[in-house]
Amino acid sequence: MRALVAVAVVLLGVVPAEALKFESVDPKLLPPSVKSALWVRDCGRAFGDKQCADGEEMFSTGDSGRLARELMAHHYDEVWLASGGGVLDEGLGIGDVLRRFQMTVRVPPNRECVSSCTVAFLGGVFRFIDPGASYQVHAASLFLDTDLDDPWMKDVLANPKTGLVEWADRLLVGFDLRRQHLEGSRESAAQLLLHCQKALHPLGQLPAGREATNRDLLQRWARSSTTSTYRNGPQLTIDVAAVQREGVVAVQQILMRLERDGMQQAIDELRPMLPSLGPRAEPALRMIETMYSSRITGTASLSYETLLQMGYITKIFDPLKP
Amino acid sequence: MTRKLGMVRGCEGAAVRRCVRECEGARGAVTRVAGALAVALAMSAAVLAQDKDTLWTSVTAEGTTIALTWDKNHPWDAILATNGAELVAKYFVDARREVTESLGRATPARRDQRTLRFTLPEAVRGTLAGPVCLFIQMPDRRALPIRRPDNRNGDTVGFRYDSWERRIRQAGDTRAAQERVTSAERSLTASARIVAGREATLAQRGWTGLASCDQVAVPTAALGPKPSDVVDLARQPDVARRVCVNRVVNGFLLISEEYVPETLPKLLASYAASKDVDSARSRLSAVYSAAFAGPVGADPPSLIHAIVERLGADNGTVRARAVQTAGFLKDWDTFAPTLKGYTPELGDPDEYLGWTSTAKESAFHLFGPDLARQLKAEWAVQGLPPGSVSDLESYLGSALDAYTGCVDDSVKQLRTKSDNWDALRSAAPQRAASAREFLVRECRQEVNALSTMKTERAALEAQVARDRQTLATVSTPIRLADKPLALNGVSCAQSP
Repeated sequence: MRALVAVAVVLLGVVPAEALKFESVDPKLLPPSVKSALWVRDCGRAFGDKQCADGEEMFSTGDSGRLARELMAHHYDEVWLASGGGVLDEGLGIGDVLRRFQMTVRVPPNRECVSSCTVAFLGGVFRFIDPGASYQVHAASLFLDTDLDDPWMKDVLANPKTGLVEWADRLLVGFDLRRQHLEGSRESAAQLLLHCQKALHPLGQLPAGREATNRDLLQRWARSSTTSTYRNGPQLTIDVAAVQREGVVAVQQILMRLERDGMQQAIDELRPMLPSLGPRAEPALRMIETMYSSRITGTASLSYETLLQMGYITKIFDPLKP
Repeated sequence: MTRKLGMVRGCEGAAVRRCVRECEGARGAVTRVAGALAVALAMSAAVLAQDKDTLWTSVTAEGTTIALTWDKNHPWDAILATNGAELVAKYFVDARREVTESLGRATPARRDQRTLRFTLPEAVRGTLAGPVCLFIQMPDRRALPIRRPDNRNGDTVGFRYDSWERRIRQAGDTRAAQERVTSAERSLTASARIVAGREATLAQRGWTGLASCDQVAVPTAALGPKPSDVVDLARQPDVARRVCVNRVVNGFLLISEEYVPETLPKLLASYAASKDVDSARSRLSAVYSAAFAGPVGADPPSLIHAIVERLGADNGTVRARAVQTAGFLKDWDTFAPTLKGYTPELGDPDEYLGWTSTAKESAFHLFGPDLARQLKAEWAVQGLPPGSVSDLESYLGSALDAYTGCVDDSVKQLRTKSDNWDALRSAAPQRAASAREFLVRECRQEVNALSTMKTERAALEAQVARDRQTLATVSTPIRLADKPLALNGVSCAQSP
């Protein structure tokens, strides 16, 4: 269980995550111009589900593949999202699938799209948050479900100064664990930036050649040598003292903060690169900053005006209602 | 019509010569019936005699009937009398494609054993691309010669019936003209419908002409009232604190007034029956999901005071967290009394303050056993490590971090919202101007498109009128021969 938690960067809402299910939306719920829609949602009592299987508990590994198969097999006018979130990579994966199928996405009234769900949502080429629905973002973390006996935490507890500095670097540039590479903040920022930038362009497509150029630029940047600024700052001394006094609880709290600090460092490094990343890279970077404006133990619920101004949602211009 | 028809294959070359020789051999016999022939000739000057030149046959047309008569000594008399023959048409349907079409079979009537009457159809299957050559085909597929060859004309079997040919050509022309009229009328109807629909849509928008496009009003900036989560910069820190105090209060109320007294006892009773320790422990520990959750009934400031007192003023955590502690207590005193009927600027009204998983676990170690005792569920916490001084320090630090983290995040979020609102508002006039530009462009485009459509509709109306005129012209009936017209001499190799 611990290993599973450790290898997945989890984006999970404070509302307990239920499950991810694919099923047709009841035609009675569809807006007038929509003929069919697919639910991509958590399993839970809010939908009348009595029992939820393990694989349906949240955005889980393999969901993007399942969704691609579903969209290949059946035509839907829209995909409706309602989820508390889950694995970040799967949010990105589902977003890619939605973009590939040029889907319109909607969070229908009285439903929530939280965390990974909001990342997936950005893959829709037309995106609607209905009145009464909510869209809540927050930071990603490796340490959401860490417990008091966690060996990583205990390692830091045994040698706080070295442990914290090591983790600050790992969380920034990534690290390998049992032949698997865990992305650092820079790699996550690079992926998220491209994802958000595509979302801000018509039909999710950057100008010709731009995506390949940016992918290359961002990859080279993410792989370039760097170290966390944490090792030489005054915060390290304060944190070491806190760990020594308050134990594993402080370690978890500090590592989660280091994750966000790593993302902030990545954002700060990306800012000077924006002119070379083409149109709408700047608002894309603001989306990442907004995502990380809330720690994972809470969420930032974005208002309609913020969603509209920042480009999370699309608005249909109706000449008859000027 | 300059195209020349090819020879009928059934009677070409040696076969023709053989047919002709056979027919010429009938001459002696024909002489014997000269009297009868003279009578026939007397009947109509227009009908050629069955003589050497016609190879003792007579082919005539009258109305839609082609009649073939032959002499009783004609070498093929028996075959014709017994089996009759077939009238066949040969014509081109395009530059290269020639078709052969049977127009019908005839056998002699009982009262006239040497005459075959073929009824011509009103039309042939193909569309004519030239003249129609008729010939009579024997049952064995040989063509019946009806004239002798001469130096200028080798065609011995083909003949033409000009007025019928013109009539069927006219039938094709009429059909084509009718199709053109139908198609043009259909296009006109569709065009009229589209123009009317487009006119109605444009009228609805007030786009009645190019001049009206310049009068398009600037759309109002469709911004509603300032949303409740948009707060002036100066007020944002206080609003953030109030939001977070409200979340702490929500957690406290949820646990002390709902979850612990109402929900938890029922759940534990059900787990007690099955001694389901894991589920019971999970439900007990859920009490500590909210930051500042402690002993039942202990409100957060009281709890913080108690922990600080228990740890002592010299404790490192107490000293390190002194500023945070004072800040939280001050905010509590300031905002907790103001929360009745409060709708927070951020998040849901009943949202509580979460914290880390290890903080929750640590709080459970500290306060879980007492809670289990109160609920008579000690069995569910057996073996749970007891809370320690270190747990108290962890608890204090993580609760205060959760609170200050909430305030920091809320300040950032309020800033994001106000910045975006300002941007949305300041860009509103520019957006409205762009929208107007779009509408003016759209208006001009639509008005011009409508004008083009009306021109096209007028052209279609003229086309329909022309097509109807053509149809009337080509529909004038063509008269066929009203008395027998000899065709033996009208070869397909020459113009009629």
